[in-house]
Amino acid sequence: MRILILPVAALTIAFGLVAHAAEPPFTGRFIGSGRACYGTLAVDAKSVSWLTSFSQCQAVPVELVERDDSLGVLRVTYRFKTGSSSCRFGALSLSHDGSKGADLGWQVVGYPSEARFIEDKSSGYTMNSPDMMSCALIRDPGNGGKYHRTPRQLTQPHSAKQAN
Amino acid sequence: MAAHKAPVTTTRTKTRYELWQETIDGALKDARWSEYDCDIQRAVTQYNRHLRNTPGYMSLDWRLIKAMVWTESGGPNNRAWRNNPIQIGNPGDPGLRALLSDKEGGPLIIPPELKDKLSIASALATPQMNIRAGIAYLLMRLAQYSVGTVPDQNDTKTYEAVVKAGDSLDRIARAGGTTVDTIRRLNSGTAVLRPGQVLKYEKAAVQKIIVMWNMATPLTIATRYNIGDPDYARKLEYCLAVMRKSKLTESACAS
Repeated sequence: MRILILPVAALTIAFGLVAHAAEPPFTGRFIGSGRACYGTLAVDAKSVSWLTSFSQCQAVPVELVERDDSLGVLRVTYRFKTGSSSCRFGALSLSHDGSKGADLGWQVVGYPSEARFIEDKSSGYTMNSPDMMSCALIRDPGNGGKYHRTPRQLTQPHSAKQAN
Repeated sequence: MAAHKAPVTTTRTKTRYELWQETIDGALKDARWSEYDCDIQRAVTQYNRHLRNTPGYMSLDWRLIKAMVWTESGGPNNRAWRNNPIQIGNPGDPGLRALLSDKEGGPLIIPPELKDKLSIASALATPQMNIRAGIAYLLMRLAQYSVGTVPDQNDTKTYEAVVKAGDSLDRIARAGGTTVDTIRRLNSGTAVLRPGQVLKYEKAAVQKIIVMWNMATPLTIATRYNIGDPDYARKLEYCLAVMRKSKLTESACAS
């Protein structure tokens, strides 16, 4: 029995790693609305800028914590490698609800730390805490003018021009 | 022979505002966008009742608050709808603290029955309290203030003070728990004080008071509640237009 299970598990892990490694980095530019959320979220291959009314996270180097679109809902989560007093967050999770095409249905949640993201994930993403901020987003139409029609396609890398 | 050109097709890129409008259009076919209607109406009624006797107050239209909730949260598919629908009190936002401090007029805006309930913790704990805090912050920013005499509502008796040698109106007012304006209003001939002169006074204090209001409109809300969104006023206008189209989905509320 053990002889059978181990190779299967090993293969699954190996395939998982290969698939993850082959996936191009997520990039995109998004716009928020309103008192606290108006501003831009720009996700690059290695850094994130999230500039809003009360928090300025400018070109923060990031590490991918998790990228999951297994349930048809894309979620990409990053840990910030550096902090600053003007940036109120230590991690963020960008997700798409999978229902409205590529331009609508995005939201971002800012967390003070990766640990808080893990807590939130454990709660089924229902946590509400004063040190978190959630914002509805639209994909920036000025982002190179090209449209990818599905969130899945959105995960393909954009050109450097598009990212700016 | 004329060269044949391939037909050129151009597709116009939608603007940010047009994409945002598509989000709000979701309200036309989803009744959840109206699920806070009764909460908003109750809250607005509470503030209108509390502030109706302040100079120049015009009753707040609850649909303006609903438009703010739509603009701020992006609708019921977003977490902000549940956690922070009017987006007051986010990390780094000084608005909630300003409201709850006594420096910017918040205590004049918040109805007595809410004073003990509204706190930083409660404003972030439930959508209903978040909306109440947002309304209070908006009203605080719409009011115009001055400093003036406010009579003591708990002690309306008239007192008398006898002027002693060396007294001044200021000293008599401080000793009696009243204001110079109150003494002047109740007594003629206070320009020169004479020992033995009897002055009437009522208890009063110099406080911040509301002297006028800026009307709540999409434009004033955009300049006084919003921080940087340049489309805020027309977003509110658009939400109101969508509400007019979708009136059938408005929640009927028990009074």
